[in-house]
Amino acid sequence: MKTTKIDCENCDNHGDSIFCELEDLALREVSDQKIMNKYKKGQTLFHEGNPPYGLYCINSGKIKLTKTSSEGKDSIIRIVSPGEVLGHRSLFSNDNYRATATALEDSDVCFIDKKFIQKLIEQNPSISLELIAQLTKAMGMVEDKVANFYQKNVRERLASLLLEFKDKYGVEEDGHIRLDIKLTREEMASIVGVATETLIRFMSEFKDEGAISQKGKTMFVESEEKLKELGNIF
Amino acid sequence: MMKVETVVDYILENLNEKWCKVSFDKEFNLFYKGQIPTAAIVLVEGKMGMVKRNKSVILIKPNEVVFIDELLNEKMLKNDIKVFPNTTIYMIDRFSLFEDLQPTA
Repeated sequence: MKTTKIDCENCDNHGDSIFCELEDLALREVSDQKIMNKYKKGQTLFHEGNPPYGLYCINSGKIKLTKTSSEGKDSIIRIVSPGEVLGHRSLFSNDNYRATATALEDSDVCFIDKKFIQKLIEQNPSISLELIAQLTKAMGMVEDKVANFYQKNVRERLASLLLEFKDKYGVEEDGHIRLDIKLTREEMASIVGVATETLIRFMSEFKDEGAISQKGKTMFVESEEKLKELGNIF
Repeated sequence: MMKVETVVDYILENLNEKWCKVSFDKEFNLFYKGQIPTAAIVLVEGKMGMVKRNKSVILIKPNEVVFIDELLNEKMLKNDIKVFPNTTIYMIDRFSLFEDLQPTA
């Protein structure tokens, strides 16, 4: 499927990405060098264990990062949104990809060669600072997630996740908040770290409490206060 | 527009020194139909092929540079490209090619 290449200067995420501090000339260089592709839902950008040869910048859509257990079960470790970059940790640590990146929905993704990125950073050190900021933010989120696993029970973890989705993907619609992200129950269960049956049980409880509702695969937050109460968040 | 033959010679002469070597232990879609490849490829071991109509696979020959025209001139691939288990390839990035080679008529 042909994707019309969007110049970095005209990108909707300009201002949110690691390239936002670049001057026009350098940004034009990035624009000329990058390759933009569309990934349909379910298509894979890179595979866990492969060596990185470039960096991916998400223009639109959502990408899930999964790790596969020794039993072959996939767990979602992160969902990447527009403006964020992928593959940068492996690129600078000379490590192989530690997760598989797959399109959660139809997504437009820009790819930039590793060698070009390295040259760009030498000439524009501000990119390093932006990358450090993104890595630091991601590290903080991981620390919070680890703490949640030890300190919160399933109900609280699920409520926290739904509140996080509300903040990141919530769209106000007819008096409630539609969550603009579609995950299967198995995928949600893997994020929370529970069996699918357990997730379904708690989701039903949240619906009965009036915290959330569902229409088909679309979820709505009906009461943020109720979710906070269920999640023991004050 | 770069002359393809010059580029191919350069790639094959510098295979071990310049390009990223990748091994696959599982079947994997490297690129998808309609995408511009993010690297040219040289297959050195195993099997890689173009998937036609979701069924048949036309295998790519080893030790040849493929997708160089698509990479340099941003052309879309006409088929999914699949690698099979126990396959090793070299991935040739566009930036290095543009930096190292002089464009010819």
